[in-house]
Amino acid sequence: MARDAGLRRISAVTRWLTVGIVGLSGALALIASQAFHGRTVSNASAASSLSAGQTSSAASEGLSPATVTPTPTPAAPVVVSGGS
Amino acid sequence: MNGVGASARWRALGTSVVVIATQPRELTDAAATVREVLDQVDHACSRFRDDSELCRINAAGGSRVPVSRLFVRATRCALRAARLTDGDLDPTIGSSLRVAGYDRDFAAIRAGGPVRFARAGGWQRIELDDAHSTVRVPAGIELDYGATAKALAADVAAATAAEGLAGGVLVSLGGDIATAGAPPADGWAVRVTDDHSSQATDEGQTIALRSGGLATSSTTVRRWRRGDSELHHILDPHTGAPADDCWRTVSVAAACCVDANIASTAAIVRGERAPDWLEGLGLPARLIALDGTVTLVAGWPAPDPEPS
Repeated sequence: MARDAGLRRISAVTRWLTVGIVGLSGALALIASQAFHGRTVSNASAASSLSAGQTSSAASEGLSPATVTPTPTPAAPVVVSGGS
Repeated sequence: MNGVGASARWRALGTSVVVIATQPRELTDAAATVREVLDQVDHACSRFRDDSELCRINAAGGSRVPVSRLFVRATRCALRAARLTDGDLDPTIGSSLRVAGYDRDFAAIRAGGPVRFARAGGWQRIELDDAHSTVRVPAGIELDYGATAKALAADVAAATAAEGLAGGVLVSLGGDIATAGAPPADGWAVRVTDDHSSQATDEGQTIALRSGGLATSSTTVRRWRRGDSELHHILDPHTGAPADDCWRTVSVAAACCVDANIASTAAIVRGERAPDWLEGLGLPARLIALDGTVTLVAGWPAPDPEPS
């Protein structure tokens, strides 16, 4: 009987310890993420072995429209855009 | 200057340069900055001066070559253009241009010689080591950044010139236009036409540009004869031959001159597929067919009726 009670106490303590450790780890991770901003570490050797076609982050950037679409104007032109 | 500041004009990179500052007193500084940037770009990217970084790479026989940060940027720009156009722009088109006869400054090209074409070497074979600022291309592949370097120069020059100025700056390199800073109240009035050396009254359309860049690509300029054929300078990298004459001229407005130039040049190469492609990208464009038929896409403004 005393042995069963002891085992229950050990089990409860273990359970609470586990919960505490998990909670503490989460709290520390949260504090660390707030305190230290991330940065990208370039891997020179990896970059060396890849073609630029694979390394440039611009690969995913599409062609971008202007923020303001051109409009017709009656004004005299200040410059000409044509083939060259 | 029609009430829009002051301008300076000269020649560089084998074409005409126009710099306009909305504040006339700022023109001198702006033009000096633009000159400096163009000198740097010419030294980095010219295909026609032996001491350029690009020529050193072409002559390196497959060795890795240390390059400037500007050349790294130009290379990234050229590779991005290739990726975004599925290779319709290809910075390894140097040998194609040489074989087709465009092997010297355009003004010095001589007529004659056999008609030969060679497809581009393949942009995926360029090796850029961004971390160590080196570039390598296999022996036999020749770089040409003509499709993007001029537009990049316009963007960099305009942005750099406008730094610290109160007013806005427009830089035009052979009709490829970049703007930076505050535009004139009614925008920059730009005549869009086939040839950038045209008069402002020649056939075309005048639009107001308030931000970003504008580029025009045309098969009506830089033409030369080989055998019985007349060639133009916009080659299809997949064949090495001049792009089919579907559109004679394409003008595109975009967030910057580089993007506008990528789109306008690729549109010439893409031919009939170009309007849908441009519409899908949301890039306002004006495409002129060989017979003069005008196609406007993605919000490019319709021309005002001619005054009666």
